[in-house]
Amino acid sequence: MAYDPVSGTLKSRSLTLAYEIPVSKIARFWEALAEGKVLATRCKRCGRRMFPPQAACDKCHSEDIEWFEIKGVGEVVAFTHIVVRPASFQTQPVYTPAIAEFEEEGVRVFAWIAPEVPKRQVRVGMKVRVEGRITEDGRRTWVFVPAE
Amino acid sequence: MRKVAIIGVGHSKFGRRQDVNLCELAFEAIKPALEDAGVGPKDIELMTVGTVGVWYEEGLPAVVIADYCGITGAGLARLEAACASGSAAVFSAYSAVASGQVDLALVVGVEKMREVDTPTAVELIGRAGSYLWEFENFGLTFPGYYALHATAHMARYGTTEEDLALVAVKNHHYANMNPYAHLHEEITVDKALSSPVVAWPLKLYDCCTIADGAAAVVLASEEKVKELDVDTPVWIAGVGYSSDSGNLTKRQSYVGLMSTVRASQRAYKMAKIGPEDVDCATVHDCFTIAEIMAYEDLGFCKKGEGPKLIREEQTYIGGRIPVNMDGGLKAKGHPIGATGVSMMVELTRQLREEVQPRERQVPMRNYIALAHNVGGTGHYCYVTVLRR
Repeated sequence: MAYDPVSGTLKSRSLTLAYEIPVSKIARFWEALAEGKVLATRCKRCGRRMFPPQAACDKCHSEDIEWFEIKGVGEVVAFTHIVVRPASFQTQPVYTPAIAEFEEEGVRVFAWIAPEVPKRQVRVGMKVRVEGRITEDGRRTWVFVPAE
Repeated sequence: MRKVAIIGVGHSKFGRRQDVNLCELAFEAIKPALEDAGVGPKDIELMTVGTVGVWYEEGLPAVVIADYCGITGAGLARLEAACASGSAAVFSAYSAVASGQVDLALVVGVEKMREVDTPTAVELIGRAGSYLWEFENFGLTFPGYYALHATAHMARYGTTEEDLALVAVKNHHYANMNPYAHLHEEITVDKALSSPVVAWPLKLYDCCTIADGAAAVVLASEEKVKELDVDTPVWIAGVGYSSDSGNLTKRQSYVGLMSTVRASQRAYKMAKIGPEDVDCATVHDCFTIAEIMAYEDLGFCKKGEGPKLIREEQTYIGGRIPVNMDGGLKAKGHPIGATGVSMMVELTRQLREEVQPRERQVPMRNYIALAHNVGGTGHYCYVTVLRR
């Protein structure tokens, strides 16, 4: 209860939040990232393809799903370079999220363009592949790398 | 369904409001709204509060606001639809009055976003969307969400950074005349273009401000309007709503917001009007690209012609369809839960032809106005048509 007469404010108690997010139903996705692979799901009943992967079909609600790898070449349809970063990304250099369309697999993927790719090279229409990675601080993630 | 009118409006000053807490800020909008309607706090049967919260200390905002303003005992609910929370609160109260549940309802939109530092606010807004798939690994921010749409729109239609800057110049121009606005500063295209990059291609002047603010409206049934002998009721003639996927990867396109298209079609149909009948509009310009996409998605011009509309100054007063005469989210400020209600306040004053200074008053032909309020990047959308 720190009262600051200059600003006329009172500093509240602080609270640190970190959630334990259940991912067991889509564990295969997180496992495959360590092998460099990015997986999506397909509904065995209606054929609906889903990325992000889900354990149930968002269209017909069947829970009979199968996994497939996104192996083909995709095309960047939108991107941005994030300069003003959120609190938990303050130590990260400027990063480049993008959306790429993988026509062959019938899905779109959201990810960073790999940090080693020069920013000038990034444009709408750029051809990319997606690959799983483990970051230096041990997080499982996926990035786009140039396909040509 | 019964007819529903807006009979009272109130608005706080938007900006960094370190001088007031949540309840004191809401009071600045509630008191004038009730006075304008000619009713007291105990007359209110239902209060809906549009607010997202987390950047302020209160966990049950509707409860503490009702208490501070002597409304305790009325029906209460807090509504969340991200940046469209205010419109969700209006829609909820509208439905209660239209259905005959209540005759008099108060809608409050309020947000207190500046009690945390900027990186924390950027993080909390960025987490809205699909946390696991878009934030956990990728730290997508709200400017980033709209920047993705900007690069797609630029690639498809040849939209330029100058076109985006023109929207900022217009909205700063009108905000400068609005006493409630956060920013009072005329800007030039050069100034906007030379401002620091936030999320490329969006720069500082392409972005709305993170602000504190509150707005309130009183809704009444037709019977209540007659009983109170209200001079100039403003009727809610149409309400449309829609939504879109929380995962950008599941969207059909990135050059517009499908939820805007669907919500506006629903609102036009209910009001039995078309976009050509609208005298003036407040559209959701949290970022300059958002205003350009709104022109197109609301049917004010064809898809891809939004940049032409602003280049020709057709969205200034005197143009084909004046947009955001209050300065928009861009320069009036965007306390996210307050925004939808703030739009109702502005349009009610426009329809009553009481806007000050008069340079900001739109000349009325049909006495029809439209509010377009987006939550997230089209994750939620509400379109409301008002008619005098």
